[in-house]
Amino acid sequence: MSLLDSYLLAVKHYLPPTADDDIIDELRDELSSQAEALEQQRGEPLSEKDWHQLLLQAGHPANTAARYSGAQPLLGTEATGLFWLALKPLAYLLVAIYGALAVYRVFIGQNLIQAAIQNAHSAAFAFVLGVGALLLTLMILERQNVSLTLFKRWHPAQLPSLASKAVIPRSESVFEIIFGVVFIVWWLGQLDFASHFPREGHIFEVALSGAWQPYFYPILMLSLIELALAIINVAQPVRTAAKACVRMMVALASLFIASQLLQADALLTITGQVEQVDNFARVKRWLEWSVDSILVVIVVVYVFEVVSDWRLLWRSWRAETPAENGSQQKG
Amino acid sequence: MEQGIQDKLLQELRRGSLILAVLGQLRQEHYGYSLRKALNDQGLDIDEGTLYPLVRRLESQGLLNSEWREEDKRQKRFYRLSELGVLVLERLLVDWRQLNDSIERIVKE
Repeated sequence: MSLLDSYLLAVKHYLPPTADDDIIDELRDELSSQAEALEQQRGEPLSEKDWHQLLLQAGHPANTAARYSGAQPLLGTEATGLFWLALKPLAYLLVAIYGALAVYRVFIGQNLIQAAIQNAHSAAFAFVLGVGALLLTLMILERQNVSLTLFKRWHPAQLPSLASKAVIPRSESVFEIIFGVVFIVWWLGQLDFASHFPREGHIFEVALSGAWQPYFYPILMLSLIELALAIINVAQPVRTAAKACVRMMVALASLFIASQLLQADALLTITGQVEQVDNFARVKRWLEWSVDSILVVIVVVYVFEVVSDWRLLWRSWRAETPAENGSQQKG
Repeated sequence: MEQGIQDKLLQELRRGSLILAVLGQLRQEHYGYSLRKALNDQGLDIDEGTLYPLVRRLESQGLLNSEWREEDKRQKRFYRLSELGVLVLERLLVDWRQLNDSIERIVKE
């Protein structure tokens, strides 16, 4: 089999099943014509090395075949706009549904933390499914040439007023204060949430393991700093370089603590009836996995905060530098 | 970095213009290799990986007709503008000239 035949077979292998049969014939003619032109130019038949070079120029078979696949972006511009527009309402809807479900579970006597963890898991899973379903729906609508008219039926006067990115919503700061106070009081042992988890007919007692002990004061201090920042933000709801600097330090310290905790053998001490060893081990694994997952989410949030604070600091530094340079030149 | 941006912009610029060049060249009948050579002779270098899928797309849109025929002892697929292709090319050329004039005026200012 010649090099050309092997090449064309490889291209055929990579072509989509719906591709026209004559693509390979046409490609054969093109490459043969190129070879003939070269032979005519040189006055001698092409060597294997020449064929090798010619096929290299034609490109890898997978790449050549891909050009016939009619590849297109997953979503066009209009559908992409709709996708981002729909994400926020989807998140709000799921938080409302699963928040209400968690309240209902607490109301009928379930442990608060267990209800929160279970519903947070379900909400996160539903969100991933929702994003996939949304993506798929928009993709199908676009492929079927269904006109996505939402962006054609808008009015400039009806656009929502959006705050500047430099403004910190007061509602966000108030939430941080409430959450911070509850956390600090709980961390100091002054607030007692039920620590028994009824599951699969057994009751398990759950407490933080000794792995947290070395970080008791650091976590307390970081929480106090964050609480202080939230209080300042209520009075002065604007992002500044100084605040970004403090937040970044807090986030980096929290990242360090989280990374140390994630390396610990067990973050929870779980005791319970050990009549069914399998059940106990499964529930223990589930609870430990939940705490690990929460820590990973916290790590992701802090990384995001570090990056956004760094960008803010960088921008404010860039904005100040030309002014300084300008004033130096004037002086 | 700058070269990368330039290459990308050039690629975007060529993407639309190539369609016009291919349609224009196919007012006369060509098979793949001869079309590529004719474009090349006019100063428009285009590789086969770009040309062939483009020609097939234009054919599927009804702008080209094609037929397999033997020439030089080999089966070749010959392409030519369809009636619709002729109409579309005329309209595109009007737009192209207007666009070209506008750009010329803008860059001269």
